Amino acid sequence: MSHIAIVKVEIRSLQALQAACERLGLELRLGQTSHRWFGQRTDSTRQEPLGRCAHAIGIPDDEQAYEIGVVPSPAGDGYALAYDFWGPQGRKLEALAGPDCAVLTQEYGAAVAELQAQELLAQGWQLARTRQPNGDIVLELSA
Amino acid sequence: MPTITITIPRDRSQGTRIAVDGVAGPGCQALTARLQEQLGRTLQDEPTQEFAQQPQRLDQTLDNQGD
Repeated sequence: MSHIAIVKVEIRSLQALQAACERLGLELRLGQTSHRWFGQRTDSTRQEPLGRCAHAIGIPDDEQAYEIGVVPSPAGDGYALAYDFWGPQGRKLEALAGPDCAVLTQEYGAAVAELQAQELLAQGWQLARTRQPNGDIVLELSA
Repeated sequence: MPTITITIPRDRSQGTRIAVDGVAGPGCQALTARLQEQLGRTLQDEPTQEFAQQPQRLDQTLDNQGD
């Protein structure tokens, strides 16, 4: 073994996010600056704008389902996901993106790795993708 | 044989694990530096025993045969 790194995934690549959306049957709507949600906040103490975003993620050909907002990360680097999975219109979105957008975030991580692997693949490396029984995705690159 | 294994957990609270096998020396970090940067924030990055070994040139045998 040479080294082991642990990385917390943060959304920084719209190209990878688009690839992840396509794999899950979602659509990244670049430049769409609002996203559908319940429309009324239940916590009146919160002040941040809801429903506004830099880009949106939706279900193709579904004009009723809620959408995920891709918003500038409060941490200042990349994007965060804003979503409302309440009610039938939210649950349709959750069924594809996963609870807490876990499936979308996981596919995003895989897409980043697959995009970054292209340079090694051009040099003759091989890439294998498997899904573990616990739902983890494993990508193995070998020379 | 060099391998890079990337494990992306379903659970968002867990970090993505990148393990490099079969690459001696600090060259192994160069292999994954860009990937780590693109994935997000590196929480932990630990070299292993093999990291301290001298990298070997793959063409060394051919060079010697030519002498």
